[in-house]
Parts: sequence; C-alpha cells; structure tokens
Amino acid sequence: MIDGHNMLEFIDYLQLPFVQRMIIAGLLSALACGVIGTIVVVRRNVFIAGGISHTAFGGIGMAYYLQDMGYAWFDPMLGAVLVTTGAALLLGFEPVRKRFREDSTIGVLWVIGMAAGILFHNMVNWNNVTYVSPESILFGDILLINALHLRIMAALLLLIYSFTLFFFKDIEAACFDEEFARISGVRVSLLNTALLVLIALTVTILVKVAGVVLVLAMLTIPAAITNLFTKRLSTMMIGATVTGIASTLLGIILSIELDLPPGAVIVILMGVLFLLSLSGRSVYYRMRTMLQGNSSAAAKE
Amino acid sequence: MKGDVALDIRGLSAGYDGELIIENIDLRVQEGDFLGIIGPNGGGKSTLLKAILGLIEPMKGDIRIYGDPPQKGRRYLGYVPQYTVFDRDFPITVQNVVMMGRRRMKGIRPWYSMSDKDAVKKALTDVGMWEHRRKHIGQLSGGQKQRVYIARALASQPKILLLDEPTASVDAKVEDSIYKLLTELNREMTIVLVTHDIGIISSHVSNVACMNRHIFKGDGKELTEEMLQESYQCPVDLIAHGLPHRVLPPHEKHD
Repeated sequence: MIDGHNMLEFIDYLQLPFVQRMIIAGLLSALACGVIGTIVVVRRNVFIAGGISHTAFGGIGMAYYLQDMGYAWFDPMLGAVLVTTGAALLLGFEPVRKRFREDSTIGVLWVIGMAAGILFHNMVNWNNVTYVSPESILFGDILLINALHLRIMAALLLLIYSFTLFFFKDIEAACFDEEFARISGVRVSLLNTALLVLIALTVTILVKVAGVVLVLAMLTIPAAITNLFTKRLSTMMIGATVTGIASTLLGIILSIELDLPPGAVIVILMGVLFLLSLSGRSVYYRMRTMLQGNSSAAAKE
Repeated sequence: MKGDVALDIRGLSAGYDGELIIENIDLRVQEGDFLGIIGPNGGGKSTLLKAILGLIEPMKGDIRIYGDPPQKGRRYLGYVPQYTVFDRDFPITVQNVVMMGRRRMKGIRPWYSMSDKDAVKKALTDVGMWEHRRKHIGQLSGGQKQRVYIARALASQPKILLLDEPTASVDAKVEDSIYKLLTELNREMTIVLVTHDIGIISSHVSNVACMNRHIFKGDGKELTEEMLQESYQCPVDLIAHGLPHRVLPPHEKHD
C-alpha cells in the first residue's frame, strides 16, 4: 500500500506544520490516556468518564458562544477544561454522593452537557466566529489544532503525570481496596475527587483528537488490551501508553494516506487490536498449558 | 502484656441512616485472647467490625483500643476483610498487596523504605507465601489469597488481628490450615474473628460470643444453648448436629 512513491509523499507530509501538530497532539493524547485510562478501567469508571467527556460538548459550545459575544480569547479547550472539571468536582462532592445514586448523577450531567452544547451551537452567530460543525466537536478536529492547544495539552499532561507519580502507591491501594486504604491512612474521598479531576483533564487533552464521543475509546481500549497481559498497575500504564502511541500514530498516518477522519480511524484500529489481543491471549494460554503439560510429563519420566 | 484489656466496648449502638443494626454491645477482649464471634447473616457482625475500625461513627457508647478511640487506636489493628470481594482482574502482585499494610508507616512519602520491604518479607514468610510474591493475586487459590490478606494485616505489626469470615468459601482442609496459622499467630497477638458459620468455632478459639443485634458472651469457648437460641432464634438441635467441631457441651442425659 505504501510503496516508494507514497512513502516519499508521506515524508513530504511530515514537513507540513499541521501534520506535525497532529502527530504531537496524538502523542500527548496517548501519554494521557495510557495512565488515566488504566485508572478508569481498573476502577470501572468507564461510565463516569463517558459522562464527564460529554459535558465537554456543553463547555465547547459555551466557548464558541462567548467568542461570538466578544470574548475572542475564550478558547474551546478552556470551555472544555472548566466544564469537565466542574462535573468531576460535582461527582466527587460528598453531599451529592450521599444523596443521589452515582449513575443517575452521571446520566443527568451527560445529557445536560449534550443539550447545552447543541443549544449554544445554535445560538452562535457563525458569521462572527469561524464555523465549526457539531460533528467535528463530537468526533474530533485534530486538523484544527494550533500551537496554543498543544501547550495547554502539554501543561495538563505534566499535571497528570506529577500527581500520578507522587501518589502512585496510594492510588494503587485505594483502587484495589478502598476500605483498607482508608483505615491505613489514605484520604480516600479526597483522592477519589482528585482522580475524577484527572479524568476531566485527560478528556480535555483528548477532545480535540478524538472528539467528545470517541474519547471513551481512547481511554478504555488501550488499557483494556494491556489488562489482558499484565499483573502490575505500573506495567499496565506503560503498556497502555505504548499501545495508545502505536495505534494513534498509525491511525494518523492511515487517515492522511486514505483521506479519512483521524479520530475514527484511530478508534477502529484500537478496536481491531483489542479483538486480536483477546484471541492472541487465548492462544498464548493454550500454548502455555500445552508446554507446561509437556514439561511436567517430561519431569515424570 | 497479658492481662491488659486490648479491646473495650461499652454500650455500643451503631447502624446506618438512623437505623440501629447493633444495640447496647458490651465486649471486653483481654490481650492474648482468641475470640470467635458467631451470628447469623445480617446480625450486625460487619457493623461491629466497621465501628471498631472507625469506618462508622457509633450512635451511642464507646470503643477503646488499648485505651484509644478507633481513629487513633486502629494503628494497633490488623484487618483481614473477606477476600471474596476483590476484583480478580485487578493488576497487582502478591507483594504489592501486602505492601499496602505498610501505608501507615510510609505516610505521604511516595515510595516504601527498606524496613517496609523487610516487614513485608517477614509477613509473607510467616504465612508461607513468600515464594508466591511475584504472582498475580488472581492466580492464587482461595486459601492462598486468605493467607496473603492475613500477611497484609501482619505487615503493619498489629497487636490485634481482626478477621471477617476468614474461612468463607474455602474447603475443610484449607480451613483447618488457616486455623492452625491463626493459632500460631495467637501466641504473639490477640485475635478477634467474626463468622456466620458456627461450625468453625473449633478447638482453636479461646472464647466465643454470639451476636444478633445484641451480644452474648459466656465464660469460655463453650456455647450455651441459651446463647445460641438468643442469637439464632431457632431450635439449637438444628445447629448442633452434623458439626465438624462440636462446640456445644453434650446434652444432659435424662434417663
């Protein structure tokens, strides 16, 4: 498919600033979703992550509306980070946790985020603001990433990595056995809220690349793949990051070559990889059992 | 020191959302005791444990662990929850599970020290699981998992070991080996365990209490029919027959 001629063309592509930005954005996204995706998967927080990411639609709509109102500096990413962090804090807020069922709260935030987003989108006078379609917010607009976005993404990523590294052992303890962590001195409620905020920051990093809807795939699939093969939380994070980087970069290259939307190509690639690793794992276990069977038979002789 | 009161509970009432689950509990555990608390499911055993661990606030009464209230006194406690509640797929090794027992000593520092690692090695060796330290927790059998959670509690070098249903869903042989281990540990620490299975109150424990909302405690490890009837509220014979370890005194002959 990529013959000599096309390869050359691809190297030419790499000279283009917007392609370089796409690749950097893809790398930053994969670095974020490897670490936070692992936490989301082991804590079974996939639905929470879905809720938080869909509120970003409201935040982005709000940002365009404010731009139309004259606040040109109000970047969509700023809207996304504010609204998703707000949703995370609300989900972690103790009185809310006590009073309402968590999945109901998530459901409400999810749909209000979507409804607010589409209302804002309708209210914007698109003669004053560069037009952005709802689909590109929902499914990603990696092509429109600028240098400011990359800087925001890098800053958020730094925050996520510092927190996770510093509190890694406490995160591991609280995710595995919340009650035991609490009686051992971990401030579990505070840590849980902090992790929800980290999910919000990750959603903000991913939202330009994958879009509000496909964020969930980038958060869960690389981690779910690695979970099949690992027995340590740290190696799961590293494995998910590597898987994320590989599929994101390959997805971006394929989308340029085939002229398809990058977010969707990345997600389909990840999905295919997940199916392959599921069957790969069952083959691996069958072979291991066979080998062990042979060696124990040999030992008996 | 033998003779000290390890755990002192007076007039304790506790529950959730204003509903009482346990009422007016008086319980005193001497240092070096091996107390088995039995009672039916829903009888408030877990609520009692949660109150001792300081996870719920008592509505009435007082709990002292070596003279300290639970929030402070839990540094003396090693807690072994029911192992069946954990996620089998969670990526964690045996060694890292046991390391959690050192969290209190580690504090906010991001890494564990050499002395933490030594304590983990000793705890895993004591329960006979050191050679399995690099295994994924999901690879272990039920009895092995239970040993790992006991090791995690031991890693904090507790004075009192609290166990919640330590032999739930293990077979009789494993059950026996876990009780042997607990008997050995009892030489160095006080043990309190709760269970719904009255069959487990074997020759290992030194004291028995029955619990169903209220607590009934005799002098030693013999259960009286009265205690059982009060807590189980069903004919004692139903419970007494077919037990692997007899806990009831033989019926008096009325010939």
